[in-house]
Amino acid sequence: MSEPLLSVRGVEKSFGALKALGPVDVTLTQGERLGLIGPNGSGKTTLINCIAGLLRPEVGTIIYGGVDITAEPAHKRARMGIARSFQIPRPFTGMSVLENLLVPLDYVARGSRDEIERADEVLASVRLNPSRDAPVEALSQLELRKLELARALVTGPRLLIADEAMAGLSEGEIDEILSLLFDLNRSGVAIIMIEHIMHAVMRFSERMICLETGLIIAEGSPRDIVENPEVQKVYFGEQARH
Amino acid sequence: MSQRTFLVLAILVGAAGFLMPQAITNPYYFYAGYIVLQYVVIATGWNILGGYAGYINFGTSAFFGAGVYAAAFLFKAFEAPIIVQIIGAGLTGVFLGVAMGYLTLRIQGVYFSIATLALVVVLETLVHNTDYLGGAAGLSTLAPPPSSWFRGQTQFVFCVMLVLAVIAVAIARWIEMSWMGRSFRAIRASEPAAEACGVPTLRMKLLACAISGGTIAVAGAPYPTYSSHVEPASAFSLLIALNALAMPLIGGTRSWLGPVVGAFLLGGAQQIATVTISSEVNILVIGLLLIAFVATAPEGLLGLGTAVRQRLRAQNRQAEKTA
Amino acid sequence: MLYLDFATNALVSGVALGSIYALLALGLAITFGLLHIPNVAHPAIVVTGAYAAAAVSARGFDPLLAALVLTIPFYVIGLAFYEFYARTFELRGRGDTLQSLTLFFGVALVIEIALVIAFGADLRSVSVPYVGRSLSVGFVTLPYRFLVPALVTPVVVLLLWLYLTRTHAGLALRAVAHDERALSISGINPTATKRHAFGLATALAVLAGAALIITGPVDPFTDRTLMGRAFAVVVLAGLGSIPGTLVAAIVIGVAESFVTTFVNPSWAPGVAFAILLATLGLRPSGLFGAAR
Repeated sequence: MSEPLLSVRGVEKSFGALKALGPVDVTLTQGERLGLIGPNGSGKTTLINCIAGLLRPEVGTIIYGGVDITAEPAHKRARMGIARSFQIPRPFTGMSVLENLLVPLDYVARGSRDEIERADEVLASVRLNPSRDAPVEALSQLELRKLELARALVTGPRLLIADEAMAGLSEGEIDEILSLLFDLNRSGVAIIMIEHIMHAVMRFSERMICLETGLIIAEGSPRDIVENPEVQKVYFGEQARH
Repeated sequence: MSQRTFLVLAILVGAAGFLMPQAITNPYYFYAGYIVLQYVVIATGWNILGGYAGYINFGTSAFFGAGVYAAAFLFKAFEAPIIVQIIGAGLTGVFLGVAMGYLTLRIQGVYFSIATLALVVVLETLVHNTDYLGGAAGLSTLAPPPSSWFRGQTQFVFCVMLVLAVIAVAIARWIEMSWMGRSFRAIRASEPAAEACGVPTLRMKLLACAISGGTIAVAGAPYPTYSSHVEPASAFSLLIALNALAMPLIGGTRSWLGPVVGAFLLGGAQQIATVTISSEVNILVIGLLLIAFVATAPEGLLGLGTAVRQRLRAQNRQAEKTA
Repeated sequence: MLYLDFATNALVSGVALGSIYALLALGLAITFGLLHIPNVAHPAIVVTGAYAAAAVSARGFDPLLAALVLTIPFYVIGLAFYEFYARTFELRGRGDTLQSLTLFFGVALVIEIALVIAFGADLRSVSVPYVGRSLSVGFVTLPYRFLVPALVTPVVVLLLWLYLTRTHAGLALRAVAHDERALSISGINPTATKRHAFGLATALAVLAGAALIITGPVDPFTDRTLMGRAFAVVVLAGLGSIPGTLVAAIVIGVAESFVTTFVNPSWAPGVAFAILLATLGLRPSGLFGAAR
């Protein structure tokens, strides 16, 4: 399988006068684990929003599974197999855990008997304990993050974008989420991880990319990235100061 | 309430309604009851877009008035029977809803709400300047008398509105329990997350606009027959927009039952108070109630009921643990 | 030749009209543009300001001076109103924008009806010595009732801009719009800042109300015609730009003026609305909007 799963070419995105991203090139192979780092405001979220379809870049193309999806709306890309979780969990409030999972399922397996089974499977795979009829308002921070992931996974994506899925969690909770993501990757799902928790993203990634003011300043193995002086200046330097 | 129970109840209510003209002789009950049922339809229709999907329509009077005048037009031009008027009004409402939605829904919800206010002004001005529809003075819409079973025009339209109310509530209930309701509620909770989950948010919002607009317009269709005269001031009345907002909010926006409760409570109270207080004070009181509920009980009375039940349940569990 | 005459007059009265719209929109530029609070009751507060200024001016004072004095009680009302809003929404966690929208709509409605009950539903106006006379330069004529209020706006805009860029309190206000958490970390109370902003916006509303009623009569439901214009100005300017408000308002004022002169006066209220929709569709960040 030499054809890349995802190919981002020359993508640029501005907000009014502010150029937030680009030009940027990213390639992802099937089942790859890519780590995306960079200081706040470096364009990470803009990049993944362009990939997921919530933002439309002014310039550039995005090719997924051999298909040009640059003009496709986000919901179509979701159905094609691109899933994402949000930095701050956005559960569907006013609905139960099960209903949260049924929303995406309604668009791949509407009305079929399998819907609830599938939801239960995914809930078990993320080890989400509360009953499926519990209202989402009753979930803890960790449970919300698991639900966020479960909702992204329930449609069986080929690419998962995990946007700071571990922010604000304790060490034990971080390990739990990491092991979930590893399991998922073993089943063939490519994962792009945005994280500020360095040890987590370094353990997880096969390859890493570092962004700064909208441009890629370094790309390579976790070891290479950590030892890259540019990255140290821009990213770790900031951390060292605080 | 299971599907079967609801269906049985609906049929019973419908049948009871049709028997009423034979049992009750005072037409006043039908006169006032019509208005309450009209509000059941309006509030239910409003809630599909506002309560389920979270897009607040401030200009409900525009859709209601459009329904009134669509029916009046069909009556005047073709002497259309009431069923045709209703369908015509419904289609007008759907069209208006989709047009409005298409113009404003790709931007934030705030602007949609402001646009709905503008719509009332636009439509009312249009009708004012259209002599065929009677202009500012209004149009006489005296319909031929109905079958003698009903004993009178008022009783007849009351039954018509009852059927419409049952259908509207049935539709709202079906939506709420189906994939459509789930998608609407996901949009209300977090539109980006819904989009990322595969929900075609724009299409769903337009769908909600269409269903909501059509339902509200249908509520206006029997009005020309009911009052024998239509005019812009009452067809596009501020009170309609306010009630459409207040009734679901006070009753409860999360479920089909909320607008019904709100319509009966608020509508009933207004019918009783109509003789004692001025229309301005009426609007003032509803406005204040609206503010009070939005500020303190945004889930409405049904929401309060659910919260109370949950707290009792939690207390019971606590008691069981310590016992 | 006649067209040039009409066009120039339309342009001049458009600029004056725009200036008044800017004053109307300034309060909204603060609450909606900076704080992102969808205060649809702002035009209703402006109308209340108009009635208040008219009531005071009936005792023989100039409405604009009356409004200047009224800014103090209106500021206090704004503070109180924000407290009510904050307690019911922002402190409850994620504020549901649409619920707060409904709240403000309810408030607008209550204000309208309260005005009807207090003052009656008829049009209300003020009589000021210079109303009725016009300034004529060549073939251009501008009534004083437009000119005088229009001159107030640039002064207010300048003062406001200086306040927001040069004073500590003003900078805090702009900062809270940008990053509330950072502001609270640096020791400034964001709630107090937002409350102050609301008071400021309400004080500006009474000035706008006085300007409004000088240009023409007002009734309790005038806020509906103003709403489209106010939001159009704020959006066209770009959320967060105060000087941009004046530019955007003049654009809208001139556009309306031309439509009134060359097309049909009854289409004029729709112009602002059409510009609002066009801006949101084509350039949502407005002319001078800051990227978030």
